Amino acid sequence: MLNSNSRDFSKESSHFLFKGRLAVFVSGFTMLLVQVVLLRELSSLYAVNELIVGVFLSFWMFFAGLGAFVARFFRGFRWQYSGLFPLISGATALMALWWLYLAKEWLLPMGVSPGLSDWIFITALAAFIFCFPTGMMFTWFSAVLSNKSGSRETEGVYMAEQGGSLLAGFLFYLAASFWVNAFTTFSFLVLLNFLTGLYLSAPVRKLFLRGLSVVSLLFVVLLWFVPQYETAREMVLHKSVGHTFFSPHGSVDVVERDGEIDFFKNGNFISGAIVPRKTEELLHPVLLVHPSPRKLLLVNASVGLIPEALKYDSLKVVFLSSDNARIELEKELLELSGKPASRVDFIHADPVNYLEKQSSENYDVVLVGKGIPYNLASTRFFTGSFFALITRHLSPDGILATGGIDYSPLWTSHRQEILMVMHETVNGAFPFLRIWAGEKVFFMGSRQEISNDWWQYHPAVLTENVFLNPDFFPDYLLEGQIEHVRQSLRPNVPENTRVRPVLFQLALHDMGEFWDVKVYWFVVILGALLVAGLVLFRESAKGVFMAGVVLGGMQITLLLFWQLVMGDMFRATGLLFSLFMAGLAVGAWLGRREVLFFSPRFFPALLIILAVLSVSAIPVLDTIGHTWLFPLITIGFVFGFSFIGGAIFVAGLSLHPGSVEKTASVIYAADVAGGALGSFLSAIFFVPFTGMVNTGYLLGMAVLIAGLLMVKRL
Amino acid sequence: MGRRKISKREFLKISGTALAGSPFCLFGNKLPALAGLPGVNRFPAKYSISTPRGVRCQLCPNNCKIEEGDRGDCRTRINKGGELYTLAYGNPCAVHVDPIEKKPLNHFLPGTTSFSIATGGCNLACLNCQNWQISQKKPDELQTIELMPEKVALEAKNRGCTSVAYTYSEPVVFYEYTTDSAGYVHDLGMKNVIVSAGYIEEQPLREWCQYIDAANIDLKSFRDETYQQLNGGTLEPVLNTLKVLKEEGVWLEITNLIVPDWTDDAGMIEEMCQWLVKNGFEDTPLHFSRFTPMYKLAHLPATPLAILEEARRIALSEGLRFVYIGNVPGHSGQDTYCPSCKKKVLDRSGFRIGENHIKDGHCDFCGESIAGVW
Ligand SMILES: [Zn+2]
Repeated sequence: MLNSNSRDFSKESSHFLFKGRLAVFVSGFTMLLVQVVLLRELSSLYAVNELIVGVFLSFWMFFAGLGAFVARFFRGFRWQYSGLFPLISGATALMALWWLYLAKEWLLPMGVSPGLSDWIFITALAAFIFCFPTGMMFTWFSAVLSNKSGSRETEGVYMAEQGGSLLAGFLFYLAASFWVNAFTTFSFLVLLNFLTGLYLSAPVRKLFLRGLSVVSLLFVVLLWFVPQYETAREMVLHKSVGHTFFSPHGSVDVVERDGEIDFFKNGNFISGAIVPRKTEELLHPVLLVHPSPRKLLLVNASVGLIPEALKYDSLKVVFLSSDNARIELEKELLELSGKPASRVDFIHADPVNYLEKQSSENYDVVLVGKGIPYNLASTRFFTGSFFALITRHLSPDGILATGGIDYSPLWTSHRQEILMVMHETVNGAFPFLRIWAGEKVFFMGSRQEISNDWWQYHPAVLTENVFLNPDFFPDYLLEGQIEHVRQSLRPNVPENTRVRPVLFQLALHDMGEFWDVKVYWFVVILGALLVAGLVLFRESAKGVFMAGVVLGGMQITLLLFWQLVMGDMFRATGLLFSLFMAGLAVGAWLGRREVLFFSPRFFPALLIILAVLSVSAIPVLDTIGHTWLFPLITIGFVFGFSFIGGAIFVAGLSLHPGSVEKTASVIYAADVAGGALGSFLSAIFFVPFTGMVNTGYLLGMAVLIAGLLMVKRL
Repeated sequence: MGRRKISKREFLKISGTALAGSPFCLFGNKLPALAGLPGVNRFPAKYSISTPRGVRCQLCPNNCKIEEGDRGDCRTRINKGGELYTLAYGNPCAVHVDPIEKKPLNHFLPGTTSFSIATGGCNLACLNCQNWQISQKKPDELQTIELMPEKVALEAKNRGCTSVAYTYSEPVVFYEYTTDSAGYVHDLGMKNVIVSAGYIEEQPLREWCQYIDAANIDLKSFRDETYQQLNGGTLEPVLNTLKVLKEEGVWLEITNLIVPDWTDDAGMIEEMCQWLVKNGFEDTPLHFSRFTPMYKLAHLPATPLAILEEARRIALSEGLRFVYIGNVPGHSGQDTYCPSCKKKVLDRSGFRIGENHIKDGHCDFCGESIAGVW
């Protein structure tokens, strides 16, 4: 349907092309920013772990794909409706954000913590609210612009969208340390999209519409001045928030309630100030067995231990954390305790990287850990290689302590296995090992045997303790519990490593018990969806779908591996995601120009290259994990995957029969549906259960078979 | 064309097989089998009646109607061949020696230790359960050890315990195991203690009382609605349990966990204390216990101290004579005070008993009787 009224066809066409691509560029920008901010907000409200990131991203892709697919059924694709899409996109972004808060209040009242089904429902609906209408823009503008210009504009639209994402990803990465709260960010996006919508609709000729535009614009601007964040947080916490510490890892809300100060980290109640029995035992056991500790290092430690450590005269404390909000919280707790800050050093750095670079520092006591590592980021502190790194920083009579898991008269089998893995990992790095088992269990490794009585060295500290003293732990109780732990341990358990995070797998099992769900059911459903995808998508869409599965899976795997090495997932998500998208755009461009093998003719070859990349990525990255090359090579792999992905997308478009809007919607839908499934399967199942190397291997094999079969077919 | 079709099918088949096969990677990853395999002992259950629609369990107020092969809400009682069996017998998943103060029992043989056992399962489903890992599981899903009733008594004796406590999960659901063990425990001169939510029918409770020497009953709230929403039970049967235990002469202490937003209403606490006094529980120790974020209530704060102290003040002013604050180490609300002269008669620091001014159940200072088993 070409515009036959136009006198200067090509000029007007390029004018519309610019407008349309700009709209999609803004949409790409909006989508990525909304994605990373919602993700961070989700973590800060619901205390989610990395797997939910995978789940969220897959819903994201799925609903965006669904929107694109459904949009093909619009009639006529007339330009004058184009301005509506940015308006809807901006408004739904803000709605999705409010949904996260309202859901917490409606679905999880009275402090009930979310279960897996809550997480899935809440993330799915949030993704749907925003992605479904926004995803329509892809098909809409592809069709509208192709109509205007008379040639296929799908690739151009695709590239514009990815370009917008890239910009947003960089902005987020750079700005992650300067917090702008989610509501302010989204109000800005609403304004941006509103202006884009106006621009698309310009010139507005009717007086009524002009008036409406001005009034709406004023309303959007006013949004900036409404204290949305404060209102939303207050609704969720039922008390006004005194202040909030933000970091890329989440947030800590400081709330005053009935004269006591409460802290909520990512929605979960924590308090170091008022539950001494917890903080005391999480620190003292290891210090009690050292005759004269002078320097203590806290890594991935529980909240509120510093005031406890200062009970030891002349002990210097180093608090090492990559989470700035945690550091701020510790400072506040220290101030509340009234103890002097002069003996405490706060270091804001990733512990692994920091300790690798440092060489001179020696600590008498190093405490690692705060119980079961429910997120991938903290399992990296429970590996043999990390403990070996710690040994380099221990003084000759130094002690490493780790654990902090609740003691229980019974262990579920997963808890017991977690203990066994921790014990084995400490045992691997130290010749001597001692166990504490009060209300918590700790494993302490040392180079010299420690055989003193628990209460022997620091009587003054014990009198200061309200809880950790012989009154609460009569010998029979303590010795009995230690013996019980010892009897529960068995040798020859797998070691927890970076590429195979056994501890994380066990922690997930532990969470599964809490929710009373079996992960296997998800796999059955996802497997069925996978088969359905392979049956339903025809022609080249099948290849694009399969490639989507692998790309989605590898994207998540790379992201999780980045988390294990660099420890900063939430910040990196936006960057890696946007680089990935930029790569897709470049790949699409290469495919459109048929540069080298980026051509529909080499469709099977592209799939085979994808397979090789999948199989090799994690092993290669693991071997260079300790060097400066890691971020560069990771980005190299990200580009590798995405170039191929973009080219496969274009090849799929070219090879698929049918009209522009039909092809665009089918291929886009195949791509995102595959991506959604791949990331979901990898996050929930492949990575935790088979390890990262095997995930790459499985995905690689699947796409290799697809590629080989296509070779046979051609 | 034919060739193409085959390769398509082949494609599906091979990729399908590859993906379907992937879960088998799990087996390569299995950790070594744990020694304690799940143990199942099937033992005839008491208190049930056959109906045309299956067996009806009459042990607790849930009154589950259990069809062939099914279990009750407690996960421990199963219908096999029209007969009700318990799967929680002689297979504890937790065996431990605890100070009696940990139960908590403050007026029952202070300073002694209690051999504590539990099996899986529970007839309630509290959102804030401390032991959900066993209480919300079937006995046969857990690692257990075999410990038959006679052995329970012997083990307790060998470990120098003064009593055996049926605790952690919910002794109602291993009722038969407790009653059978209790006999042997008495034979060896020890006492029997239950720590329970008291959610049990009157008839089995009366029988229980013949074996039990002391009980700590959780009175979880004083509103039926809260009981249903927070715990999955109802209030009335628990109140009845308190009355029966008292009537039967079992030493009783009551625990009330104060959960912010759920059970921290001062008006409700007052009502509860008035009911207790009206029904003759003035001498029954009442423990207000502090909630800490747990299980499905991890997003709630711990109970503020001020609320616990206010609850204690209310209870004392309503006429309860022994009111404690639990789960707050080092708090003075854990010591025993003489209700008459208000002096501290029993000092507790941690699980250690300090100065003791109770002589033959009387205050050393003024001679007032201090209820309890001393
Ligand atoms: Zn007195």
